[in-house]
Amino acid sequence: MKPENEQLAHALSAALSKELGGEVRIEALARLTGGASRETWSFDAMGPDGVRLPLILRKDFEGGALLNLSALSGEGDGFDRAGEYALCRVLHLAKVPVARPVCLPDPSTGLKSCYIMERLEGEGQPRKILREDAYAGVRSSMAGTLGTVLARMHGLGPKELPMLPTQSVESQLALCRRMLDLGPGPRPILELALRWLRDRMPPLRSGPRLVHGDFRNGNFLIREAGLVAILDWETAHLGDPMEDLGFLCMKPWRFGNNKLEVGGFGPREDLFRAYEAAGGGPVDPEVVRYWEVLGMLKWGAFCAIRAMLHINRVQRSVEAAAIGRRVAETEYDLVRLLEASHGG
Amino acid sequence: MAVDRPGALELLEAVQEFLQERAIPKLSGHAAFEARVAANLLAIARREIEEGPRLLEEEAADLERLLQRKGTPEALEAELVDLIRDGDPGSRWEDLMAHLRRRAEGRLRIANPRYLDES
Repeated sequence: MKPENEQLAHALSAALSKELGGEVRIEALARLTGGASRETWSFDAMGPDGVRLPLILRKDFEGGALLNLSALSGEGDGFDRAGEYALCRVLHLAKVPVARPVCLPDPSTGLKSCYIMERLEGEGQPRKILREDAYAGVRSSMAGTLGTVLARMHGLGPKELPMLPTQSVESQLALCRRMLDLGPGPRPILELALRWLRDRMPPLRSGPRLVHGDFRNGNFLIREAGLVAILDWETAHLGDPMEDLGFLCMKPWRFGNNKLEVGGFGPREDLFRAYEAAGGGPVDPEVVRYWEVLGMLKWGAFCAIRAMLHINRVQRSVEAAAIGRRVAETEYDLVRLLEASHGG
Repeated sequence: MAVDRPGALELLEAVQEFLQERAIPKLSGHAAFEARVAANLLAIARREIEEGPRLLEEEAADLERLLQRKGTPEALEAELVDLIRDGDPGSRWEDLMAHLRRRAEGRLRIANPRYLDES
């Protein structure tokens, strides 16, 4: 084991020994490739009773996130790993499919800004989920399943989840404005999307509810038997629950299965019907469309900023360069969405 | 126009072929993924060299028609963004959308022409 991994294994052992009340040995520690803001580590813990626990460590980067959208919006990162741990505990108890949170390490162990959760087996790669024969059965019912899960999630609000920050439409549009100003040049199509959104802010029909904030094919762990877990809760907040439905319907998450608008799985009607049947409340397709446009704008602006970080030599890779040119796809999709959604 | 042969386009094509035919089959995991992305970037660069200048000319002429005045592309683009942000884009929605659609399609023809067919 590398010395720095040795050190991490030692800290994990200390944290889990305290949590489980006995000597815990750490095995098979390995870093998984992952996002721009968090590290993810996989390992096994051999407990005092001789049981092997497959686990995951989610940890903030030492130097902070390279691309933190909350920080960009000037609101600060109101939601840390301790908050995410507390959120996942509530979700687990509420029977929302999530990886069971296992331990919030005591900082005295040397582990900061992180938490440990159960490691679940399953497939998370959206292209494999959409193409492999083994998942054909899951795919055909997935739009409905996601509607049912969303209805259960949206039953939770500020009373159950006081640790969550609130994001209004106004604050999200302010974030988009900041992102567009940071990008490498004027983008008339993204500007038009922002103007369209500014002119049509939907009123919040009920109080703010739990919103996942990145609810898409790519954050779903599945097995042949069905959905195992919703992953990546770091963008969770309180807000308009329709945000999750709109985000889920965005074209980039269909990975080429363009006719099936819910993540490449099925039609919107399946999602809406299941959502309403499970007590999620009536769905207004126009409000879902609004949040879909907002999601596309955020995605386009995000791609432009990734490109800028590459151009300015902050974070260079062929992938970042390629993502810069993907803005063209998002802009094309946005033009078509705005054309379809009535004029000025 | 090439300074010498093989010219820039031919050089890019040579590297693209090397990646696709020689390098990628020998790579695996993330390196293979990055090499495929790299080959795709070379294809974008080739299309941009071939079609970019004409695209930008057409776009500028289109923008002059929309705003009904002459000017540098930068100045006209800034005016377009001002109109969208603070003006009344709804008053000329049809013309504006037609312009932006041509702009989006033109740029996509360079960045990812397949995307146009699949949509």
